[in-house]
Amino acid sequence: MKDELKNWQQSWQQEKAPLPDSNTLLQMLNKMEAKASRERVLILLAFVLTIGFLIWVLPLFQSAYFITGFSLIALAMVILLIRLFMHKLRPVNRIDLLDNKTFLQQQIKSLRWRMRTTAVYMWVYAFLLMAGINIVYLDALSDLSLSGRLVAHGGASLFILIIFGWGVRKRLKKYCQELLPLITTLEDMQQATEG
Amino acid sequence: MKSKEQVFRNYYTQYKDKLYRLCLGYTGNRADAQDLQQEILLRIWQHLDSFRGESSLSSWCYRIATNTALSYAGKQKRQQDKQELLKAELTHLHDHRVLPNAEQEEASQRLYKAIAGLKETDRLIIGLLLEGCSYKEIAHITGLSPSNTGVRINRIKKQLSKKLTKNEG
Repeated sequence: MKDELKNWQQSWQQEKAPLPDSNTLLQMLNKMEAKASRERVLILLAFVLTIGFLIWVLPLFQSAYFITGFSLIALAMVILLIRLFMHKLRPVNRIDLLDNKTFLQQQIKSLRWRMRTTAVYMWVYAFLLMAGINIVYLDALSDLSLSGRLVAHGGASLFILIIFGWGVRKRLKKYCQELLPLITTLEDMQQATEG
Repeated sequence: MKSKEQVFRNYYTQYKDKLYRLCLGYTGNRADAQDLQQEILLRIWQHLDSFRGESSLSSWCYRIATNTALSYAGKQKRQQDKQELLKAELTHLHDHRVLPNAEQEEASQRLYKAIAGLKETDRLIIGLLLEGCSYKEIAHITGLSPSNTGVRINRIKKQLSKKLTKNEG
């Protein structure tokens, strides 16, 4: 039985977690960057539209609440945009780039930034947005009854939390599916170039 | 001090193969194994802040893996259509098994197939044993008593041996 267990262990341990090969890696990096650049354009557009809409709808300079809320929402979007624009991946069009240590380092760093943006900055964005909206509501809904205001504040906060919770979970799962194997493969390649 | 991401990535680098094998033994096919692995990694990430260091990180993660795998079976039955979509998405990841020859590959496939035919908890127990976990660790991870674990492992070994012999014949 002892030998049998050893044989089983040998067979068992031959399986390895799947990782992308060089060609797939290039395709994945380029696909990821194409998607990220679409995302950047969309968020930039959303930023401009949101700011324009808020300036148009809110009598900004008539209320300290409005200007504070507006500033928080704008700050949230600016932080997210800076993060998105700062970790752009370099386009990969030649396979020999994967032997370049500096190139590999940059790609790994960019991918790690993405993880941090999802894990931390999306929540920073959500909380700033929530604070901004609630501060605007303090003035905008001042004519409503207390219960009506509480429902509006609670509803908006809950809505943001649910949307962001769902979004972050989805992104993290994608991260586990794509980014982790990518980073590991790039790190292996980096080690190979050093060794 | 290491950040959460660093701890998580270190864990992934060190345990990705072990975790994948456990998932493969549990689900019996690669596409579902990858899906389950992602689900486990996600849970590990979400609960990493609550890790107090009372047990080793690997035991703690295995515990999460075990619980996730057990809840995954029920969930999976309800999500057959979603699984089909996911399988199509996962084709970009290449198979990196280290299988020097056809005979070994066949032996490995037979083993995983036989394990997938065991009861759900038994699949996880034998997976942990084949990963080199001690009886005590397995008992801690699965929440069984150490004596019960020993008895159970012996029974699983016999069952597995029987299944493999039957498949050979």
